[in-house]
Amino acid sequence: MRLMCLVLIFLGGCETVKPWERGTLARPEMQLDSDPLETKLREQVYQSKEAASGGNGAAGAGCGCN
Amino acid sequence: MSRLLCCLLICLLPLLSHGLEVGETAPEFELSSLPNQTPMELQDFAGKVRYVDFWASWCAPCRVSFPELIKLRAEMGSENFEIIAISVDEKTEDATRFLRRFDPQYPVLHDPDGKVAERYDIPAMPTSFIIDRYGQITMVHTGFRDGDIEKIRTHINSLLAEES
Repeated sequence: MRLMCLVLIFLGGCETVKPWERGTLARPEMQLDSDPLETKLREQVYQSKEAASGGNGAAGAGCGCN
Repeated sequence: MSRLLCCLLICLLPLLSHGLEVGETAPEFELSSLPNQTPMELQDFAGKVRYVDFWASWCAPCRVSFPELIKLRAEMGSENFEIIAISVDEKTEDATRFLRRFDPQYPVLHDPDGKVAERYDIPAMPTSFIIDRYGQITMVHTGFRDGDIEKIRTHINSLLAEES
């Protein structure tokens, strides 16, 4: 029971990043993909070699507007 | 059992905050303008229909909304209507660089700590509030997509028409 209470209290500390606080997350150095142009080129090569495309990303801009 | 209930209530407290809704009075604020750091308040534009727009330089839809809002402001004039843009950029340089690109002819304020954004509890970027001349919120608009400006224009025109 005590453990459960403790877990619940800690869960209250979980905080979502507010929409106006996402500036840092939007910085280029915070992106998973550091060089989008190179990624595009790699995708192009991959598509031409495998004759298949897609399935390697998700939509969304990270600003909470989609 | 009562302990468990207390714990549950403590955990649920953060969920109790809610965004501002249509019909509520728009909270007052005072912020510095960009780029010249003049203090401005919402009250400075009392008696006008106000479009309060929360934006940031890193927000992609804001880049789409700015040219449309600049056109809207040019159409509507500033006699009975004003756009008040509030940047939530942490760094002033980011906001001023963005503004140099668009050069809006309406007041742009800076909220680097997000205090006003928090008070308005904006759910997304950008979020705008249309406030009538009596200070009541009449429309909350989140995001910015093609065709949104028409809805905004129609709403503002209806407010201006009923108030003239």
